[in-house]
Amino acid sequence: MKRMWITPAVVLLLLAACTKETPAPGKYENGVWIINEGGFNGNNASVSFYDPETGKVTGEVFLTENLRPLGDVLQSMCIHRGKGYLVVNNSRKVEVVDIHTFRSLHTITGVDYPRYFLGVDETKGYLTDGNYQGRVYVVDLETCEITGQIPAGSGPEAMVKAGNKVFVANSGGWGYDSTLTVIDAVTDEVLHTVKVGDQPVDLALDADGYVWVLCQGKVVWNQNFSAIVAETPSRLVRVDPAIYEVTGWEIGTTGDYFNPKRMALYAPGDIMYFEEAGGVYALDLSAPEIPSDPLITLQPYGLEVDPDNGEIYVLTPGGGDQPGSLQRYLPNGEEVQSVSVGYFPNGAVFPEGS
Amino acid sequence: MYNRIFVLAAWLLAALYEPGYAGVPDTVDLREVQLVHRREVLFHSGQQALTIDREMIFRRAQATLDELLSAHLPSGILSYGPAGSLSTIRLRGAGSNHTQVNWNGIPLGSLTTGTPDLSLIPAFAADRLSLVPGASGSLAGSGTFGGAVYLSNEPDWSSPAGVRMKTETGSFGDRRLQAAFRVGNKRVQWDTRLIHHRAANDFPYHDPYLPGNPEVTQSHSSFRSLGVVQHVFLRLPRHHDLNIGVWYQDREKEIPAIMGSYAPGTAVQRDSSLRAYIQWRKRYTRSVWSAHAATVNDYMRYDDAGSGENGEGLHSFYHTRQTFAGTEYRRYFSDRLMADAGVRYELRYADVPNYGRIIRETHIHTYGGLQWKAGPVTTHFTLRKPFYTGYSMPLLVSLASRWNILSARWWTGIQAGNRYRLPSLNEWYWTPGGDPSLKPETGWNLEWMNDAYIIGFEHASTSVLIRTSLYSSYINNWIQWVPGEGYWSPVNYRNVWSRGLDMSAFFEHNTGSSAIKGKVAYQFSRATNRKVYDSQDILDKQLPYIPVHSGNISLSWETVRTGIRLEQQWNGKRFTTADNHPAYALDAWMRTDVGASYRIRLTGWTVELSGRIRNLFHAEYQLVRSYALPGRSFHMSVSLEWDHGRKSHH
Repeated sequence: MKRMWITPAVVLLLLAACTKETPAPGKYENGVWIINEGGFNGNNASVSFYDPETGKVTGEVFLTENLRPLGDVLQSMCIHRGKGYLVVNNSRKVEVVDIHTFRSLHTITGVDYPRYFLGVDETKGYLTDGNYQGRVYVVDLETCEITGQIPAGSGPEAMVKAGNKVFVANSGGWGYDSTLTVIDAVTDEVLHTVKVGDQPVDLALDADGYVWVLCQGKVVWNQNFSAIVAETPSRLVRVDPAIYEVTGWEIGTTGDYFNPKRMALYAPGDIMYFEEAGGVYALDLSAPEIPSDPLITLQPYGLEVDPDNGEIYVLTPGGGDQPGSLQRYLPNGEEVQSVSVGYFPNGAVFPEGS
Repeated sequence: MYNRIFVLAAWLLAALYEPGYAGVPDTVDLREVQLVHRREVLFHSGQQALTIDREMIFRRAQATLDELLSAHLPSGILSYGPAGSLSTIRLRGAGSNHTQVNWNGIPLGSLTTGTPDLSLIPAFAADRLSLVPGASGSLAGSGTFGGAVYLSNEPDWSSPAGVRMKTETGSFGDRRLQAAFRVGNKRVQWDTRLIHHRAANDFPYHDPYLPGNPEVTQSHSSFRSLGVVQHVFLRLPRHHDLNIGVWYQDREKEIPAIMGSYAPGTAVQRDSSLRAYIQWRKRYTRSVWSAHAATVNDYMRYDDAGSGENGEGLHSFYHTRQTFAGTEYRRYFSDRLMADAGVRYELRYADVPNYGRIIRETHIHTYGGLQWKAGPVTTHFTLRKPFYTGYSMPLLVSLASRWNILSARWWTGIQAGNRYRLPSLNEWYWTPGGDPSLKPETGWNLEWMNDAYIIGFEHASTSVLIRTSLYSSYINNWIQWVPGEGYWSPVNYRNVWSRGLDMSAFFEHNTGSSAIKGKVAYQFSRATNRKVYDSQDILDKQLPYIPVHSGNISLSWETVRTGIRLEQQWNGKRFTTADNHPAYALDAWMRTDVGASYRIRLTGWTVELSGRIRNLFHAEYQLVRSYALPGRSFHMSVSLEWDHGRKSHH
C-alpha cells in the first residue's frame, strides 16, 4: 500500500522535473519592452511596456518598480533566461531585472563604456565595451560579476550568436573599423576577424544561419574638418559563419552625411528592414535586390520587427526634450498604431522565445 | 603665501605713492556726471535694475558672478554642479543665451554658443554690476529677452591710492584670493587686480540615482582659476578722457560625472580669455563725443582621454575673436532734452574645427536715442538697426516712460520694445547640422514697473520700499537643436509667451551707529509654448527649469565693527522636460546662508574677519537635474583695506 502512494509521487516529481520551468506570472506579460535611451546627461532613460493588443503603454516601468531612476542613456536591453539586462551606457552599469516584475536583481558595475549584452548560455553573457580599444566582457550570470575580457576591434557594438560562435560588430566607435570579431562561445577565445565593410554597427541572424551586417560607411574629414578626404557608402553584408565568406550590397550613397544605424530581420519571412536616407527599406533576402524606394517614409531612431507576426516597429524621437513615439506597421507598410513612449526611444524588445 | 606676497606688493605701492595729492576733492560736477554716464545706465534709468557696487562686491567675497547673483535671483542661475561648473543665467522665462553679459561694453558671452558662462566671470573684476531684467534690444543688441548684465570699472578720482585684499578658505578645498591695488592722482588712476580661486569640490552628497540613496563623495570636480585685470584711467587736458583696460582670465576644471554614474568623469576643460578695450571721450559744454575699440580672444580646450586603454579620446580646441570699433555723440539740447547717435563695427573670427572653415563676419550696428523730461515724466526712446550682409535684421525700437508721482517716494513707469537674437555661430555653421538659413529669434515685451515708499523715502533713516513689476513678452522662432536624419540640427522651433510678476519689499533702518536692512522678494513666472513647429503635445506647457514660484529673503544688521546677515532662497518645483513629466521634475528647495563679520582699524588699515556658512540646513537639492551640489560648507576670511585720503567707509 505504501508503495502505491510512492509511485504516483515519483511520477509527479519526474513530470515536474521534465516540464519547462514556467515562471510565475508578473505584472508585465504579453507585451513589448520599449527602450527609451533618454537625453545625454539627462538621467531620464526609461523602459515602457507596450501591449500591442490594447495599445496601452505603461511608462517608467523601472522607476515605478524600483523607486529610483534607471539612469543615463539606456543603450540596449536583452532578455535572457527570465532576466532583463539593461545596459545603461553613461551610468556605466547594467541593471539586471526580473523580466516579469521588473524588480532589480543586480547591478553589474566596473564596466567602462557598456553598449550591448548577449546571453551566451546558462552561465555566462557577453557585454561589449565600445571604447576605441574595444573589448568584450565575460559576465558570470550567477554572480553578475565580470570574470574576463576578450579583445575586440574598435568600438564594438551589437553581437549575435551563430552556433558556438559569437560575432561582434566593431563599429569603429570614435575611430574607424571594418571588421567583425568572432569569439568561441565555449572557450572565450577569438577565432577570427572578418573584414566586412566600414563601420559595422548592427547584426542579425537569418533563418539559414547567415550573419547579416549593417555597415554604416565612413566619412573621414581632414584635420581641420574643412574637407572630406575619404568616404564610403553604407553596405549590407552577409557572412557565412562557417567559412567567413562575405557578400555585400551597397545601400547608401556618399555625400549625404547619412550613416544608418538600424536594421531588423524578420527571419520567418526572409525580409530585412534597414534604415537609409528617406526612411525604412525592405529587402527580400531570398533574392536580394536593393529597393530604390522606402517602404516607410519615416526616419527611425529605433527599428524592430515582431518575430511572431512580422509587424514593423519604428521608433522616433520627439523634438528637443519631448517624448518620442512608437509607430507600428503591418509588413506591407500600412500603419497600425502610433503611441507616445519615453525620451529618445531606440529599440523594442520582444518576449523571450517569441 | 599669497597673503604675504600681496601685503608686500601693497607696501611697495604705498611707498611709491606721491603724497602731494592727498585730499584732492571730487571736482566732478553734475553736468560732467551726466556727460560721462554710460549709455546703458542713462537709457535704462527708467527701469528697475539690480545694482551691486564695489563695496558689496568686495565684501561678499563671492568669486564668480553666478554666486553673487544667485543670492538675488534664486530662480535665475542654473549651475551644472559646484563652484567652477558651467553656470548660466535664465531670466523671465527666457533661455540661457537670452541674457547678455557685458564688461565695459564688451560682450562676455561665447561666440560659439551665445551663452555666457557666469562661472568664468569673477565679480571682483568690476567695480559695479547692474542687472536689467528685460533689457531693451535697441540698447543692448542681440539676445536680451531675459535681460542684460553690465559690469563696469570706474576710476575713483576722490582717492589717490588704495589697497584691498581678501582671502578666504572654505570647506572642500575652497580657497579664494582677491586683491586690488590702486594709485594715482587727479589726472591718472592706475588699478591692478588679481583674482584667484580654486577648489577641490570633494564634498559628500546623497545620490538618489544609486540603489539605496547612498552617500558618495564628488570626484573629478576640482578647478583653479586666475584673473588679472589692469586699468589705466587718464584725464587729459582740454577735457579729454582715456580709459584703457585689459583682462586676462584663465580657468582649468575637471568635469565630474553626473549623479548615478559608476565611473568618475575623465574630461578636463580649459578656458582662457584675453580682453582689452580703449575708450576715448571728449567732453564739451553740452555734449560728449566718444570712440572705443575693443578685442576679445577666447580659447577653449576640451580633453576627454576616456578611461579606455590606448583610446584616442575626445579632444577639441577652438579660438574665437571679436573686434569692435565704434563712435557715438551725445548732446544735451536743454535740461529737458538729450539725444545721441552712434555706430559700432564688429568683426567676428572663429577657428572652430567643426565649422569646416575659418569664419569671418562683419556686423554693423547703428543706434540712437532720445531722452525727454516733461515735468515729472521722463521718457526714453531708442532705436537700433543692425546690419549683416545677406541677412534681414529687424529695426529695434524701445520706449520707456517713468512718472515721478511723489518725488523720491513713488514712481511708476512702462517700457515696451521689440528684441531679437541672432543665431550663434554653432547654430549657423556646425558641421553637420548647422543651418545658415535660420531666422533670428524675434519678439517684443511690455512691462509695467512701480516703486513706492510706504514708509519714509529714499535715503531716509527708516524706509520701506515696495517694488513691483508686471511683464509680458513673446519670443518667436526660438532656436532649438532637434534630432534629424542622422544628426541634430537647430531649427526655429517654438514661440513662447512669458509673463510674470516680480515683487520685492525693501526695509531699511539706520540709527547712525547701526543699520538694519531687509528684503523679501517673490517672483511668479509663466513661460509657455504657444506654437511648436512639429508638435501639439507641448503647447501651453511650462518651459523646463522655469519655476512658477520663487523667492528670497535677506536680512542684515551692521554696526561700525560688526555685521550679521542671513539669506534665504526658495525655488518652487521645476520641470526638466518639455512635456512637464512629473517623474523628472525637480522638487522645490530652500537654501539658507548666514554670515558674520568683525572689523577693526589698525594704523590706517581696516581689517575684517568674517565667516559664513553656506547652506546652513544642509539642504539637498539640484539646480540642474543630476548635477550634485554641496551641502553645508564653512568659510572664513580676512580682508585688509587701506584707502589713502579718504575716511573709512565704515
